[in-house]
Amino acid sequence: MNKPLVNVEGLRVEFPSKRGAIAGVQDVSFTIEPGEIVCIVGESGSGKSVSAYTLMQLTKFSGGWVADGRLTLEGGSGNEIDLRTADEARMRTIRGNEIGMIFQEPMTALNPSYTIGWQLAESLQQHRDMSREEAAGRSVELLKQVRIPEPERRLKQYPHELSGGMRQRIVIAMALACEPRLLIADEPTTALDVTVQSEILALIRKLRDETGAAVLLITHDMAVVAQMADRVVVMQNGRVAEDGPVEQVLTDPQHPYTQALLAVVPKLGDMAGKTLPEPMETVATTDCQIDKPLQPGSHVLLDVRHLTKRFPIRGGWLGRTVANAHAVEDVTFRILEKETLSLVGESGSGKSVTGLCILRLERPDCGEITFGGQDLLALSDEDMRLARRDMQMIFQDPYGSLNPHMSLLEQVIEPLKNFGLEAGSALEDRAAELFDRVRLPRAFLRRYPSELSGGQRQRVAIARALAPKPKLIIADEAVSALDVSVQAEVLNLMMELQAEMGISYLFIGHDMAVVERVSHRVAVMYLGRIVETATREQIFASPQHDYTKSLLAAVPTLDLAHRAEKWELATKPPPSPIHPVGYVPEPVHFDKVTEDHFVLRSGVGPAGERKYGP
Amino acid sequence: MPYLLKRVINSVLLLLITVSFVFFACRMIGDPALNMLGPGANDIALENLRRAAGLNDPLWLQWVRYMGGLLQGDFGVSYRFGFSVIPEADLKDIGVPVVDLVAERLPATFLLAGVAMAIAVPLGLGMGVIAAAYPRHLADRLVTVLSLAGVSIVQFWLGLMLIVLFAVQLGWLPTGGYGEPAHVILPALTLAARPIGRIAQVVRSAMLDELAKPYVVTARAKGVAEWRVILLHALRNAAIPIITMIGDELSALLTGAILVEKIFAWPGIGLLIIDSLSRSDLPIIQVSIAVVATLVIIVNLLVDFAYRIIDPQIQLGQKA
Amino acid sequence: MADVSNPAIEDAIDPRDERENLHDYLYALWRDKITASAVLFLLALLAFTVGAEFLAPHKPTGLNLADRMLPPFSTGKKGLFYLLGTDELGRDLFTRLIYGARVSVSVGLLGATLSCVFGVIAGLTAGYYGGLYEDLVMRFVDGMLSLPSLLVALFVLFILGGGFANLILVFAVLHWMVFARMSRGLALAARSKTYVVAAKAMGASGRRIVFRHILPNVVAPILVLYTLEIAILILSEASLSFLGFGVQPPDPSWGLMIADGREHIRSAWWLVAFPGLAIFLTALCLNLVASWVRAVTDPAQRWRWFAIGSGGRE
Repeated sequence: MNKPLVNVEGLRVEFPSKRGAIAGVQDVSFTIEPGEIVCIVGESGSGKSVSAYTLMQLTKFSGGWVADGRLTLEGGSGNEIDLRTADEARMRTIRGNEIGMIFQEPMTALNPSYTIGWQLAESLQQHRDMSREEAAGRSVELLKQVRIPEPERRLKQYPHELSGGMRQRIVIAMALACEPRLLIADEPTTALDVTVQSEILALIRKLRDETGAAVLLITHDMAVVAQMADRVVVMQNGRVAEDGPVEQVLTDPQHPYTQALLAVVPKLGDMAGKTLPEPMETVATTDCQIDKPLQPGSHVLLDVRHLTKRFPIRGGWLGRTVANAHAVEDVTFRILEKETLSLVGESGSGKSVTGLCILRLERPDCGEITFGGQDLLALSDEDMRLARRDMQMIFQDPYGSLNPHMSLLEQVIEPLKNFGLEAGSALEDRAAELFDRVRLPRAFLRRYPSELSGGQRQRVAIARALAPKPKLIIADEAVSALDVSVQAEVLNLMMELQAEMGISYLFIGHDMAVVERVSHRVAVMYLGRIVETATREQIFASPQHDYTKSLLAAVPTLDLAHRAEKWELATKPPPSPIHPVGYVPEPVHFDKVTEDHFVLRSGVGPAGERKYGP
Repeated sequence: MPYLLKRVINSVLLLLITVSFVFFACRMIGDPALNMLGPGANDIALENLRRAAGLNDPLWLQWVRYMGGLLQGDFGVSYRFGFSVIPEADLKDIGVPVVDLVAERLPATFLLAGVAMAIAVPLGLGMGVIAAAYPRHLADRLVTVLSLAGVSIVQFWLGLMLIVLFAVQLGWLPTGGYGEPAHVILPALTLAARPIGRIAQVVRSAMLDELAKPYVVTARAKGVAEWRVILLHALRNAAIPIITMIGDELSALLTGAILVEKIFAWPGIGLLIIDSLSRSDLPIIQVSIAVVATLVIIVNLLVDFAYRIIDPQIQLGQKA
Repeated sequence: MADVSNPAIEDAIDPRDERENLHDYLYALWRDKITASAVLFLLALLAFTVGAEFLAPHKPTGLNLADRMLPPFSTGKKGLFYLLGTDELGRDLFTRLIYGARVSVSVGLLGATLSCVFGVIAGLTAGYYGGLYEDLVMRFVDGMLSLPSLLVALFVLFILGGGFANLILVFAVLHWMVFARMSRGLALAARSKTYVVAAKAMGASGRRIVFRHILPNVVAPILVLYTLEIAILILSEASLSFLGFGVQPPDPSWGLMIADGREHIRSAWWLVAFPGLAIFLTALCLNLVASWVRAVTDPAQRWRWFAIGSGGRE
């Protein structure tokens, strides 16, 4: 290996903006050796994707241009291709041929109007001049290579007929079609569930070993870096903060930013042996002010019994219901005062719908919800509106949950107005207090959401939820969209408020490491059911249900010694929660493991199909 | 196609309501017998006609009779050629059946709409694709202004100006009429201006939406040539709004050619309607409106049908 | 951040995400010369309609048989200058155009405003509340939309008789559905937006959600449609008046002027050309402004309009 495959030197890429040209990245240099996996890691806005898109000259389609620097690709026979100056015709022989690319959103990365076969063949016909039959043959090979079952049948399918994990494998197969020497993967697993993530990461490593292609993996997740990288480039604010072999960067980081990033990553198992939640580790100087332990009370605040919600799927003659999506199926749990119960599960498990049902933002089909002694399902719409005073909600997306056309002041006092709690100048005083409480400057009250960062917006959302002094806050993936450092601060704020104001949380999430940190008790959901519920300690120390175990096993860790070694690839499609109209789900039976620890004994599917049943 | 069946049922209901509305509205303006015979008619003639045509019956009975006639294909007779006073004669034998008058106008309307669309669709598509391929460049601005001009122009005025220029001043083309190929050129050009503009606009904006989607980046990253990205990937996915717009414009041509037909003396449905209005020939108006509404409904159904062919996801919904 | 606890980790605001202020919009408008001229034209038109008495060079009814049928840029017998010529009664065409604008523009404005208010209320509430109410409203809207609107307008005016008030009434009845269908789609999309669900979770009433939360967020597309509808109504008014079913003489409207001038089209082309041109320019400018508003408020395209310093390449 005398020459690196890719050499980037002093790269500066600029984008147009209201204030004139701004640099997306500046002074970025790194190299990629043949067959190497290089990870570019950084938080949002760090410019981590820009260099990769520039290698393909794809930035120009979004208005960016290379202002300075060199980008070269080793041409195979010792010559160098200048990727900065290559013209469009030359670039087309490189894109998809020398360099393949995988994207974040498998749901939208494929053209919805064409079959998988057509899209795979397109690249082969473009670069390899293959006939249609040859291309079809090669496509089958490729699908086998990415471990897709029944490849011949897939060729005739359209993207919407496949699951997210399957689509991502198709995108990978497309990127590999012409045996590129470099594979660029832009956050390839961020949009996927954790169990699917581990499969896709495993696949990428395996393909690297098989084809010898180098991989440039862009990610925000240090754990993914630990699992995948040979070498790491840490980026911050458009510049390279640190660059080195993975062992060195992870175990002995030199740059303060890398040190900070590593310090705030929650690690699964950190809380072993502790019963109560604890604040996240941050590098903040103003540390979290929790003076008393987060001990739950003994009164039941929320009691949910046999909650069921099915969404009808219409079709056929005159739009009758042809099937039901069983979003929530016979779910029962309780939350005590000052307690945090976490509902964890992957997408489609019904955890968010459960949260919406409790606030009656979705109307449950059956079940009982008792909140503070009040039967919520029996209330009239107007009484329910008033009952929401004691139960507020924080949403995943801090960009979407604030009204873009209202000032923050208006938004924070909105619940106070709705419930008639304050009026006149008292409103503004209260808003100012709330901003103090979530540590936002009062001057921000005059601002609009777009003038805030993601973490700041989530603080506004928390301030708004706190305004009517609720007893319960439902936090639906409240920190999932935030960068890891910001995530820690927001979580600590939530715990602090719990200690101070005695709030209970229903914490809906999918990140097991975060859940371990914040919860008193945990309920694991799968396909609309709770499959296991126990204290936090029990779930993490001795998971009983197969699904809980697989969920915990799939979480990537920072531990280099435990790089996943078994590359087991699931080939079955994920089971579906959609059932025909007359379908009667198996009744729910729980085994009691210990006091407070229950495991679903019955299967989650129809009788006979015991997936994830003991 | 159960969904289509539902649409057809809806459409037929709508048609019935429209026809009834027109029926009652027509009965409300003045005395139909007087309308038929003209202001000079004497009382005996009027009374005879009323008896013969059942105009003395209650309105609901007349409505039932009218709708029954429609279902049997009897669309009534035109007032156009007047009635001599023949007391006991069957009106159907004397008046000219409306259905004949309307049917003989349809070919002209179809021809004009067809030629106009044959001009508008390729031009509009081409302009829109070019604009979307070079956003904010000179070509895009030119297309934008031209397409907006097409939408903003007053059709009958454009027709008049074309007549002044090409027929009166230059003498290249006839000012109006029907029968020879030269006759269709000016009216078709006049009618095409608006659909060209609207199709170009919708193609441009739908394609810009598609070109901003991630699958386009995927295609570019595969090394696909830019023309393939634009024509095969983006245009294909933009097809639904484009077809909707073409359908809308075709409907508009079938119904909105009234003024252009009048200016060019083009013997289509539109000219029939406007002439009948000026003569208060109510049966013709009733049937023409029904016929035009039916044409619009057929176009809408065809567009719906096209969606199902184009979009694989809708097809799957049908199977499931 | 308030607690800038760690300078090493910065939670950044994406500069492309910032809200534009009035100044940004004005600057973007200034840079787009075509749209800027369209705005100027419309402002001038508005000034002429409001201040016709002061701005028109002649009297609208000033008969002057000595100066009949003069072509544009002529000077009459008494030394009067006629910018756009005169008609068969010797009236100044430019003056008549200004007074005609009054009728045409107010028909367009009033008709569009009425249908907008009614349609938006019906559409937003239908989209947000859903259920049987939505079903009924939308069934009705779809039904009316599939009617040939020019034909129905002709027919109704034939029965009711033409005239300014009837014309506006017919336009409102036949055009509100366009707004209703669009607003319903917008409300439907907004209903699943997190900020609307959040507002509901905060105890906001239905009316508050529709008018305080959804409406301000969908103003831009409604404004675009409103502008387009004004143009469409001005064009329809011209067509109906031309056929004799719209504005009745002696009220001058642009459509009516074309109809009058048609008799003299061979000898005095300007009598037809200028009123048509006035309609065309007005509609074109409205369309230009609408498409500009659409572009600058489109989240996917807007950066192209506000960005400075693209380095000459895009």
